[in-house]
Amino acid sequence: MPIPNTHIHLIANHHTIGEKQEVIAAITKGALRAKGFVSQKWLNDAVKKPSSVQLTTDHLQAIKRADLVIAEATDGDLDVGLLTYLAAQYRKQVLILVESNSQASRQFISGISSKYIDVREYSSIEQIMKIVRSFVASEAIPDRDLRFNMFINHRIYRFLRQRAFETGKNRSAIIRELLEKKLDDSQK
Amino acid sequence: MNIYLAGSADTSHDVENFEKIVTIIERSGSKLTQDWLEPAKKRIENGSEISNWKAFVSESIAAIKRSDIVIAEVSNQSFQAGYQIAAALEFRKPVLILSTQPLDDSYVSSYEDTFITSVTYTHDMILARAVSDFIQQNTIHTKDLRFNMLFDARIYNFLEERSQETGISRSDIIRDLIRKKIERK
Repeated sequence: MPIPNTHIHLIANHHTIGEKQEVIAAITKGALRAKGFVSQKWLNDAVKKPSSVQLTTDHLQAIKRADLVIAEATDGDLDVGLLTYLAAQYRKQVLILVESNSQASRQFISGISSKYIDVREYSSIEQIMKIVRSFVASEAIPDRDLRFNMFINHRIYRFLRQRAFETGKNRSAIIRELLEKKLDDSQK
Repeated sequence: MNIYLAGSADTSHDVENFEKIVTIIERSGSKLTQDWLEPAKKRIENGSEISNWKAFVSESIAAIKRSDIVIAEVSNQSFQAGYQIAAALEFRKPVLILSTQPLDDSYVSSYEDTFITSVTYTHDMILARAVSDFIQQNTIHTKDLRFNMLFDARIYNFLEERSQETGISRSDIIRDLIRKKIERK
């Protein structure tokens, strides 16, 4: 089994999440098949129903941290609508799943057109897995290294040149080390 | 004042709530940036549906952008209302969220944004007051506004000279220039 490396946040109606266990399981399985993992924390919290303030803060932070967002919107309510828009605003690729022939499939959701939002209908659990797998596979950050170009000012250039001379490392390696240290610190 | 009315009217009960708000808006002399309620009412009566949702969604987002404020009726807790509220906040529009039920259990109620005002209304008087107050709070006063700006010496000297020559105040000279510019447009 490959190690999951794409973090997915799931948005759903927290009032009806208990009735959607099969759908949630299919989303999780479909994501896993494309090396994605759906964070389960809030799903468990929603069942326990803690204060809504904590849920909001958690949700927004989780959306910001996630690589991709999936919204189950068949019975999407006010919150699902708000969070879906915010996720797209944070430039996260969002997959909205809606059950075929449901009321939602013939309403506002079907008219959403955004480069960050993909609305798909499903008619079976197998189809959910297929759609999610394909979405995660196409939108996930690839395992291989990515080329990155940036501008640096003279001060930074001089610093990198000097450090490269002192340490024998190339300038890119110095920047990568700095970023990795920053990442380690932020995760402590 | 241009106002966008956010939310969805899926039943005749929803329509009733929205109609009350429209009446208050019209009484205040404000205008709706999109009149979607009348067509919605007809659709509910005929049992028909919107044929082009893509056009509807894009028109509603454009109408939110054109508005000065957004009033959202969210008693039916629709996805549409949540999506439109978030759009309004992105465009920094003050949003009044109205509901007949408390939204304590909702994420929206705890979403912190200074542009949001939330009111639960149990009867028409509270609704009328909430809408009127919100419109009034966000109205740019029609009386004159104080405006401060900096000039360099060249402009200052020009204004000073013109003022002495014509006997017109410096402010009036500037106002005349702006008025002429507006008229030319």
